[in-house]
Amino acid sequence: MLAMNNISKVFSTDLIETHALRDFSLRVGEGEFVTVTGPSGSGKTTFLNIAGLLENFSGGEYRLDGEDVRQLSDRQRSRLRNQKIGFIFQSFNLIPDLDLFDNVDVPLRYRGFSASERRQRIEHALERVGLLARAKHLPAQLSGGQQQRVAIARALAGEPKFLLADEPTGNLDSLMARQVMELLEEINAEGTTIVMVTHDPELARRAQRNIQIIDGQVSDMQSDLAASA
Amino acid sequence: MLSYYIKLGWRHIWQMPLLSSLIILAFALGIGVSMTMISYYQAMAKNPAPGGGSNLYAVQLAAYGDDMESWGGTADGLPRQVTYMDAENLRKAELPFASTPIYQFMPIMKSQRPGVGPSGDFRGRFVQRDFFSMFGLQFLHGGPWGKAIDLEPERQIVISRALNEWVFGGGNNVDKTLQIGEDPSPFTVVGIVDNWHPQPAYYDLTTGSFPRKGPEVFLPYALNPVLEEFPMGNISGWQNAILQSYQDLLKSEFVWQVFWVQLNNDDEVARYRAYLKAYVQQQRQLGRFANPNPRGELRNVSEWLDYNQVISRDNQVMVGLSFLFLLVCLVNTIGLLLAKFLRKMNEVGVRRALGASRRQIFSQYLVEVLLMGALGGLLGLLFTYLGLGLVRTLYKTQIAQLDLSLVAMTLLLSLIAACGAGLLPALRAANSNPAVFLKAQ
Repeated sequence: MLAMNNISKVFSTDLIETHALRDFSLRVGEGEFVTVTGPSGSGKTTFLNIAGLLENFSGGEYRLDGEDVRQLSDRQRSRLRNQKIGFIFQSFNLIPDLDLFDNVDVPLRYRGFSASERRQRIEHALERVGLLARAKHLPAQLSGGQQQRVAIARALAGEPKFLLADEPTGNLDSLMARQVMELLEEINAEGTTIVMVTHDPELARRAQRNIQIIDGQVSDMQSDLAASA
Repeated sequence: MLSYYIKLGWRHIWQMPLLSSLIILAFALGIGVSMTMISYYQAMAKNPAPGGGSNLYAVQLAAYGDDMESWGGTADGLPRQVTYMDAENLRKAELPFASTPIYQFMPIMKSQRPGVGPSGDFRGRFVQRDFFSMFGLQFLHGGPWGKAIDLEPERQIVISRALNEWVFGGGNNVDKTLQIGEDPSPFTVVGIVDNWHPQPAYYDLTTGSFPRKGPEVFLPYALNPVLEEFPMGNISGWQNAILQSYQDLLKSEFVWQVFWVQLNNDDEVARYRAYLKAYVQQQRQLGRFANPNPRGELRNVSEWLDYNQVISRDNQVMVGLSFLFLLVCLVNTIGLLLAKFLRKMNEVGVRRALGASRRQIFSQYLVEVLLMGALGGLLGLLFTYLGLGLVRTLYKTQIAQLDLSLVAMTLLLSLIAACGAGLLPALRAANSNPAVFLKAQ
């Protein structure tokens, strides 16, 4: 599903070059649930942004679902992101002035679905996270856990093959965090590949595989190699 | 997607009402001021003569003497008007060209409708028969007086539709008679023309380029010495002369009327120029035109409008300044738009993450700016309407009205201005790095 070989990412200023990732190699198979841990500033978010095609990398090779993303135009990358990747963020990133229905609608609009198809998918996704009855509510009228479920519904509505979650439980209390984690596990059980960045060791242990990033490199290669073997 | 972008744009406008209002107001002020000036300038710059008046020529003569270098007041030192003597000579010249002297008088008209008193609020012109065809007046009833009347005058009159309604209450009143002032001898109506009020009044600029009213009474020029109607307008001379009677004016070297000739091709122009040259020489031999450079000059309508500086340089400067003002408004708008869009960067990041391409983000924000531009255009239209009202009051003129083409032009300009102002902010939004804003929230 995801194959990164010797990826490097350098942030340059006039005075200094910062290597956020160096010789970063990782393979994630289809249907896997991988957690990514590491100290702050280790490069977790940079990895996630590159994996989600939100940021370019300086060197190396990255194939997403078999497709080499290096040569893709912005339009092609956006289409790939829209069709194959779902995002879940720590701070939910719902659009505050859109109700839940319209929030879930956003990726479907860019997909070019018909109005009836979009409605069907939105209702299905909201039902899946138990919030269909609140489709006309604004995000501010929901609790944090509910907002994250809406974000999951939004990520799922386009039926992506690959879900990227950046500390999805970081802003939630333990009960809500557990519920969100259970939902993600359920989604993974249905075949969606998930890569989740987390600081929580307990959540990291629940995944099939955990990799650790330190100083821009995968440090726990053993579990990675074991998985790809 | 367009309807989606419009929906989002509309929502964003209401989401930040103060900032949006400031942007719309900046658009509206810039558009309103520049459209007011443009429309005023356009109205002044219009050449209303039939076919642009390229075959109508104003005649000027260096009718002054005593070694004067120049008459003064004009670019080439020629007077704008001609003397009665010259008008008589030119109009009676044996040439196959339509021509007419024109001078204005103010008749006191009497209505034949009950209860309506006399009025002096009408403008009259002494003209030759050719005037009507040369300047394209439309006859509703009857026609001009006969050719012979230009030499052997009779009390015949052509009136405008408005005057016909005022005197008679409308209808075909050809062959009926009416009175002018206290003159007991009536005038027979031979023709009724549609109202005629070209702006600028290129045919006779002696009493202002944009008079409040057009001429409504037309009398045979040959009646001029009979009726002794003093001209209403400029009377200028280079000699000291005491005018004790109207006949003194007719014999004087004072200039007080314009003279037009219709010349349909270059040959005719050349012939008339040759005629003028010969005429000037002849007059010089008779003791007139005793200046160092006796000559005649011809100018067609557009040259005549330029020569008389109908559009003053001040107006051109004003139009330039109004565009500068629009530019200042647009620069301000760009700043406000950048501030507005900066507050939306997190949403841009989310949309990019969810699959929007740069082009889609650019289009979405450009549509939002165009929406504000359209609203600014509508408000600008109101400002233009008020601005033109102010211009009409200040300059005491009826020109520069808000018509359909001006409405369309205003809205088009506002959309173009919005496009110009929205380009940079929309590009900034589209080219932002989504990753930065996604983590920043």
